[in-house]
Amino acid sequence: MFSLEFMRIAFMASGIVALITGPIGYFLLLRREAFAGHALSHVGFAGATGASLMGISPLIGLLIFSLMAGILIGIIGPELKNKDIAIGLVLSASMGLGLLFLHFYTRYAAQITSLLFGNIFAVDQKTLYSLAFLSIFCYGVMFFLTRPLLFSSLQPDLAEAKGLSLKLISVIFLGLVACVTAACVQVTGILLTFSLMIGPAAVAIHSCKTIYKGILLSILFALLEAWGGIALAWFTDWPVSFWISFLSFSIYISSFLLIKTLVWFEMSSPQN
Amino acid sequence: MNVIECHDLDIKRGSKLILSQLNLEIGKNQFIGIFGPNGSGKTTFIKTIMGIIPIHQGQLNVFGLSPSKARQFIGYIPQARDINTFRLTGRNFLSAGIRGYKFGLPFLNKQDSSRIDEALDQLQAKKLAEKPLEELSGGQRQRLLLAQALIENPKLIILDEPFSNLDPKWTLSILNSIKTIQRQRSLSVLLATHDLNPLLPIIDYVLCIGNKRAVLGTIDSIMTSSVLSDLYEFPLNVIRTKENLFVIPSF
Repeated sequence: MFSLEFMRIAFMASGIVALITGPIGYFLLLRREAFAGHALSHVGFAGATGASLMGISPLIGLLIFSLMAGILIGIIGPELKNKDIAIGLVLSASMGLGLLFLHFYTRYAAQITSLLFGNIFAVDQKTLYSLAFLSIFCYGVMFFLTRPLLFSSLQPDLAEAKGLSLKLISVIFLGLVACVTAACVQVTGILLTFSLMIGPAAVAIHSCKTIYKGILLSILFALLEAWGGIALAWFTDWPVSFWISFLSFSIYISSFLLIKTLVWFEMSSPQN
Repeated sequence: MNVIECHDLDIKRGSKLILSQLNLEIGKNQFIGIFGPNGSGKTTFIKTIMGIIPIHQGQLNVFGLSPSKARQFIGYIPQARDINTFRLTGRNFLSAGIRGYKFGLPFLNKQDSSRIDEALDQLQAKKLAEKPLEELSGGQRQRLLLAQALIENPKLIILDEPFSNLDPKWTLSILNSIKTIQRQRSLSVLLATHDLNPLLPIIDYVLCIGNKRAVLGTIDSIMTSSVLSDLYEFPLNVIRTKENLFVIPSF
């Protein structure tokens, strides 16, 4: 399996993506913005198809559109009482725009399928370097952002009272989510980013009592699902994205049942 | 130096005038109950003191400084909001606030940890802090939030409706803790509430807010039928028993 270069690149690329989706997914859940993460990938679809139509790399179009949408949601989000409505409308408008671009773009249907469902085996050396750069950039931003992000996620009112700009934090964070989404699309495709971005984080956040353990577990599960998905695809010849989403779903359900059982035992055991 | 000084202060929320021509002085080590019905402007006034809502007109000094500069001396407990903390422990929740407004990674040094321990000890909340926040009752959460407000050694503590959704037993327990802390640390306390009764034996003064106006004074001087009827521009009867106070409309 590892003797083939495209397999080595696939493992490296998905590993890089898993390293950044872990912490970002964790904070998306902590901030109750999982839907925003999901929407940004869909918004990117219009950018990717538009870029393809113009003969530019779809990754660049995807990144620009997701970034713009992320910043926009960050700016107007706190003002809106019901964020989901705004996000949903932006999402559907972008998908509609993507469909229009697709209507004019009649060549290379395979490229669009890769965009929608991912094709990790098609990642080349150049894309691998782009992903590595994106990952380093995201970790660099998170190095500065984590403390105020955590404070504003857990105690927004107090954070604001201490002089933190909730809007600024929201804009930077959602911009970061857009970058990670663009990276994640390379592995899972636009339609299945939720599985790698939110699935592992959901297991971690429901099972860990501390933030660092939660983020670490989120990264580990993301790695397990990404690499497990590629390995299973190798042995079965089924799509990688299917396996990743299947693993994500199975691990979430199993952990959910396990945690519920453990909590039930803990609650029903006699107190000391 | 007074803790809070307002001179001809106007406060707006968006385009709506909430408080107009407010003049008051709050001295050191005082326990003030901020009283008013829901929507009267208690939270807006508190948010202005914290520098979240800008002053529209007039002057507001907190410890002789502008609100944004004085916030470092204030321990603030905002109105309860439903936040999903998943399995995070109370200690993790509290730790997130340590220098939380500065960019960087949320690591704690020894001094931070000992300050957290000291605040938790003072409220006998050390054991509570090790439990996931979602497993704690409203009263237990308030105890932790009170501990958090003490971590940075404030000179003033502001609590916005800390007793909403608390049963009388927890209300009394939290109130006693606040009073003890105030005495021990020589703090000033501002506590906003729509029910003044639990505070009656404790507070020094009451700040009554309503109808874009506010009046400050002792309970005996402010909580009277004539003052409240004048403030709310509606005939109100204030009935006092030995331990309770009832404000009822006079029809």
